[in-house]
Amino acid sequence: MRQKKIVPVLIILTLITGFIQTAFAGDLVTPRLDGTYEKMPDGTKKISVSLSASIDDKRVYIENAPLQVSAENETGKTLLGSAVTNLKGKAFFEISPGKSIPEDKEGYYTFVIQYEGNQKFNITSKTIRVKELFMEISFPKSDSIINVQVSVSAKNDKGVKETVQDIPVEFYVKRLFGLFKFGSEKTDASGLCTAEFPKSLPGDTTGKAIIVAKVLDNEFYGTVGASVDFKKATPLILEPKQKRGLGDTDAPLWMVYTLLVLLTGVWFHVIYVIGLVIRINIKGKKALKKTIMTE
Amino acid sequence: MNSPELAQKKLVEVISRYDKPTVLGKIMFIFFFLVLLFAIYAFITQTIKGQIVTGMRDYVVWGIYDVNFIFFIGISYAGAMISGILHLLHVEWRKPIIRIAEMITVISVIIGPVFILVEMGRLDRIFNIFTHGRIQSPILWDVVAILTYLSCSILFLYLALIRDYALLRDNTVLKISKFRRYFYKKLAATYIDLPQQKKFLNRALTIMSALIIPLAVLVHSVLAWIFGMTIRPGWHSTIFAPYFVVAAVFSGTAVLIIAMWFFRKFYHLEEYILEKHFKYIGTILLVLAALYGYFTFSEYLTVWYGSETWELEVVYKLFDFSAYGAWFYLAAFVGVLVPMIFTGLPFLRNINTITIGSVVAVICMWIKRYLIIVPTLETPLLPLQDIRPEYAHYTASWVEWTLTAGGIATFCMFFMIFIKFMPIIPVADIAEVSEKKEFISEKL
Repeated sequence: MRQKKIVPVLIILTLITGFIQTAFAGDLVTPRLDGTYEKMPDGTKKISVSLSASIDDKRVYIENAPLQVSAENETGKTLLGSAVTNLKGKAFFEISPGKSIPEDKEGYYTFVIQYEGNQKFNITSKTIRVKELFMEISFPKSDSIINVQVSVSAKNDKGVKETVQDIPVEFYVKRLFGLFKFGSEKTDASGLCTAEFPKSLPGDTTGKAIIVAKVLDNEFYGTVGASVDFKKATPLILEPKQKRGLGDTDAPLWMVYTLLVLLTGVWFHVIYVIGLVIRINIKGKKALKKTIMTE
Repeated sequence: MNSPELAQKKLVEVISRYDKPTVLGKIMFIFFFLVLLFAIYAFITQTIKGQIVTGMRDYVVWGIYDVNFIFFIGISYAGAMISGILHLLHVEWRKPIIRIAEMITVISVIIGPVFILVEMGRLDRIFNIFTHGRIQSPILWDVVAILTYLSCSILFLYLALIRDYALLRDNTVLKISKFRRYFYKKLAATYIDLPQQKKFLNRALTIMSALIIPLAVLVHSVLAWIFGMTIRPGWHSTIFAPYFVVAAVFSGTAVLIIAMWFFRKFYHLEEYILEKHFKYIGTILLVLAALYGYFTFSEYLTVWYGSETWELEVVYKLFDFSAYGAWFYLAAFVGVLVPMIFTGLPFLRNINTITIGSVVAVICMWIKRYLIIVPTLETPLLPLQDIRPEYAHYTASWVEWTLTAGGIATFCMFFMIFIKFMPIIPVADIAEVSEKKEFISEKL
């Protein structure tokens, strides 16, 4: 009789426990996945991803999260590779210049970045659709000024390159700790734009400066950059290195002379005293010799 | 009794008092040696792991290593000032204590700079000081001044030892090993008390005692200029150089009194180091304490009255009991008043109280050096933002404390080793004084 009563009690308890667990189980959080596309000056395509989530009204970065990057078009999906987020929830994925990426009929790349989720976070993905933009930098001849010209083009539906109009282009020159902007222009009907390179900006000691042109965060093309070496900048004249050390110095002469006079004064006396000790020794030796001789 | 005989008698008398090491002496030596070994371990740890094992960080870049450096250079003044000045003034009572003073000088000038080397780290780059050092930098002046001061201190000590080495060389009573006899023979420089030898030696001693006084003043002034020429609160002061010099002579004199007490007690030199020596040196300590107190008052009154914001930040840290207040008042009041009371009031003045006053002075002077360095470095001009507390505030680590203990242990060990090779009392000088006294009493 007792066994028969225990069985339904156990079943009820199990059901209640399961119900409570289900009722109090935390909801999965859907993270936020942001991504940007950038074509680097060397042709490398870089996809930068940021993965974060809002927990208790606070933005939390999700670290060590595996992400898959693939490219898709009408024919299907091609896996390009994977990346893992760092401590700040960021991951970077680079596609080398030679690698072929499937395009759609209109000539666009469609990158899909996917996060598979875990026990806390839902699956999420981000799609970036961009068209490849081509930029070329040249230096058209002029008499007294230095012009930097950028030609911007993109492939059409037939895969043929054609110029792109009204694209804002930023002009920079590379400095030691970053890029220095010297111009900002829009491309004309022929896909060209020109900025004057300031002569006052020096290059390196040989007169070389690295010119960088960029299209920033364009809705169709993303961020695109191009760079070229310009060898006719004003050569940098380095200030002569300050001489250091006791034997070779740029210190004020009065200071050097004071030091020398003081040191000479002290060491002259020290040497004189050592001389006195030597004389004490000699006098003693002579006196001893004399005594021995006398004896 | 003629002079050489009297001198030999005195030599045997002095040396036989401490020649055989006592059990306590052996235990102390082993203890100091173990502390030194532990300090070597701490140094190896620091060399392998880097300065991260110390409490020094981005803001407080100088810690107790620098405090120890200033402290040891300071106590070296005992020899320079006491011995040098008293020699020049021909003060007769100085004779039994000058050897101790000169030894303090040499040992502390050897140990002090080691702390700077330890603090700098990357000892493989030590020669860069000479090849890349800037003559405009007070740090380079300090290197040059200390090396010169060390050379002169060693020479001064050696000159004062020549006559004693000659006595030891000629001694037949004491058991002296072959090595030590050879050592004494070479260092005695064939001194046989000829009138001309005496004249040369006296001339050399006079030159060195005259030379070592300005050198000592210069060394500590240069040390003060390292701080004074830096535009930081608590440092940028015109009186820093004389303030440092007075503080150094004060602590040097106090250490001399402690050393005198130690040698008198444990090496049974009561016949030579008399109560009058403590009283005379105690009077010097009293004057120096008053002078040091005056400098301290003048320095902080000027800064406080000036009300310059950045300067006040440091001053209030020093005055505030929740920051460095307790230490500051200890160093500024107890460190000055206790030595003054114990040396100034006749009914309190005896060997032990003068020594206690000196111990208080030495401890407070160490604290004072800490208060000069750390609170200033903890008060940068730009506000501290997003900084870990341990990066902004300094606490010495076990490595630093161990190396400090190692420095003190080495200082004591060096004393114990040095007196194996040189009489702690200048026997030849003492014999000369006794001979004079005998001559005068015979005449009378």
